[in-house]
Amino acid sequence: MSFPSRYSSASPSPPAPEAQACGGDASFQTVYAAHASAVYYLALRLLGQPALAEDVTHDVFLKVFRALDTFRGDSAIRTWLYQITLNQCRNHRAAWNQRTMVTNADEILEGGTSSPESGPIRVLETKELGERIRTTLDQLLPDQRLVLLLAADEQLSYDEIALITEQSPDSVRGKLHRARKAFAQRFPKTA
Amino acid sequence: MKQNSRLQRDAAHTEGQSETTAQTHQQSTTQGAAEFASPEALLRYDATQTPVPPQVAERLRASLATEPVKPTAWWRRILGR
Repeated sequence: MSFPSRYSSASPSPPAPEAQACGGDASFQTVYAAHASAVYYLALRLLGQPALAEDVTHDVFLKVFRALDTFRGDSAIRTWLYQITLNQCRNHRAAWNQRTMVTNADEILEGGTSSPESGPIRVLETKELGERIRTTLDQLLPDQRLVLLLAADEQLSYDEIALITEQSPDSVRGKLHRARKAFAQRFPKTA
Repeated sequence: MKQNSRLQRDAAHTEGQSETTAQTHQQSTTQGAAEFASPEALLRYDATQTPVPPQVAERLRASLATEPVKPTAWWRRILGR
């Protein structure tokens, strides 16, 4: 398996030991080391649940492993990864909603009660700042949330954000402007 | 409190800067004060505080171990790459 030189040169250093744990060859590990955090963070803030974000990250890189040979390099690899991530987020969200609806229906039929989702893992994930950010992002329109999260990635240009979100760069600018404003207004002053 | 007001000021400041690229927003202050120049800077900081759980790599390794080995294309065998 090999990468177009343009992308392998983005991270010339050998993959970190933690990236080597993901398996695959050195090229794949390099991609994982360079982009896994970005993919996981986007999924986490879009879906709001660490377990789902882990699933998405796993599935995204599994797809990358399978499709790496067919990646033509027409766009930056980060752009390609985010497009896969968004598709996976949509799929997982739909599946999650379906499962939740089934579960709720079962509970109604069985007369059971839903168990609270809180637990040590949840608490560890939702540190104070992260929780406030998640709460604030949840209050934004989905388009605004996505554009803001993508704009936070310094590797992406407006054109690339437009490509990922399938809209014009002007539309991205407008949504980003409104997203910044909405985020600042809603961000809680205290925890 | 201070953090929020900084965000609001930044948002107001950026209203007239629609041409500004995403790359121009920089985290402006020290980590201790936790002040950020823009929502994007805040999100970037949040991202640095959100590592990928190690179990993702472990799951990926297990999944990749079951992936079939792709046959090498004929032209790669000939060209040796």
